[in-house]
Amino acid sequence: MEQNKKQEVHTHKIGIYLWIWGLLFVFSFFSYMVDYLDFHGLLRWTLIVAFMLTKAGLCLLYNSDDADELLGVSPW
Amino acid sequence: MSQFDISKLPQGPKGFVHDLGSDQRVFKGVPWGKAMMWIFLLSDTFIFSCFLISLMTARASTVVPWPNASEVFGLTVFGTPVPLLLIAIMTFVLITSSGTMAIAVKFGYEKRRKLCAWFLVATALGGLTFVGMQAFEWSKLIFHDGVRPWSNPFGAHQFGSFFFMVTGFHGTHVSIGVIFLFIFARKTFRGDFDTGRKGYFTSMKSNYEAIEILGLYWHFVDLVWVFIFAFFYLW
Repeated sequence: MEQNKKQEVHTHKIGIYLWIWGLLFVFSFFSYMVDYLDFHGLLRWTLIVAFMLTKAGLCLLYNSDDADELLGVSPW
Repeated sequence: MSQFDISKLPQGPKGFVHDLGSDQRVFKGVPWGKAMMWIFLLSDTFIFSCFLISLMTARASTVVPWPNASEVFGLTVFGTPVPLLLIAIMTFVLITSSGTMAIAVKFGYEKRRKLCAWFLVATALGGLTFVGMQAFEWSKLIFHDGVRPWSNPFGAHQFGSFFFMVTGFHGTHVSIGVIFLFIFARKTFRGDFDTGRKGYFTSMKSNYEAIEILGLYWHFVDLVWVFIFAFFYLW
C-alpha cells in the first residue's frame, strides 16, 4: 500500500477516450453495415470477425497506459 | 511486509516470471483488488467462451435452418423494416457508457470527486438503458413471437435456448454492474475515497483505485457484448 501511494499516477487527456469511443462507434457502424448491406458467405464472416477483433482491441485500449502511443494520436 | 522498490524490479513478462520464481508473492505493487478482478474476469472469459463455442457448434450441427437474426430482431419504423435496429442502439449505448466509465476513472485519479461521481452516474444510466431495452427485446420475443427455450416459430429450437442463456447471462452482468456503479457513485459523492471511510461490507478503507477496478469489470462487459453481437446477432 505504501508503495502505491508514492507512485505518480499518470492520467490521460480526455481526448484519448473520445478517440477510442469514436473509433468504437465507427467500427460498430461497419459491423452493422455488414448486415444492412446483406453481405454473404466468406466476405460476411471475414468482415464480422475483423470488426469484432478491432472493437475488442479498442475496448482493451480503454485500460492501457499507452493508449495514445498505440493509437498513434496526440489528443488535446 | 518486506520492503522493495517497485521501480527496480523487472517489468512485463520477465517481471511476472521473476515474481513467481522468487518464491514470494506475485503481482508485486498491484493492489489485491485489481489482481482479483483480473482473475475473476479470466474465469468469466472461460464461461462466455463456453457459451459462444457451444452456440457456434449448435449452429453448425443443427439440421433445421437457423433463424435469421436480422429479421427476428428487426423493427419497423414508420412502415419501413430496419434490420437489427434495437441491437444497434443497445450497442451504441453500451460503448458510450464504456467511454463515460473511462472518463470517471480518469477524474477519480485526478481527485476531481464530483466530476468522477457524475460520470459514474452517467455510466450507470447507460447500463440501465441497455438493460431496459433488453427487457423490451425479451418481452417482445416471449409474448409477441412466442419464443421459448425449447421451441420457437423461426427455425432451429436451440435458437431460443442460446438466446435466453447468452443474453441473459450478459444482461445479469450489466445489471450487477449498474448496482455497483450506483453504490460507487454514492461513495464517491460522499467522499469515501478521499476521507478513507470504511466500506459497509468490507470494513476496509478504499481509494480511487476501486473506481479503476470497477472500470475493468465494465469494459469487460462491453467487450463480451462485442463477441455476442458478432456471433449471435450478425453471423
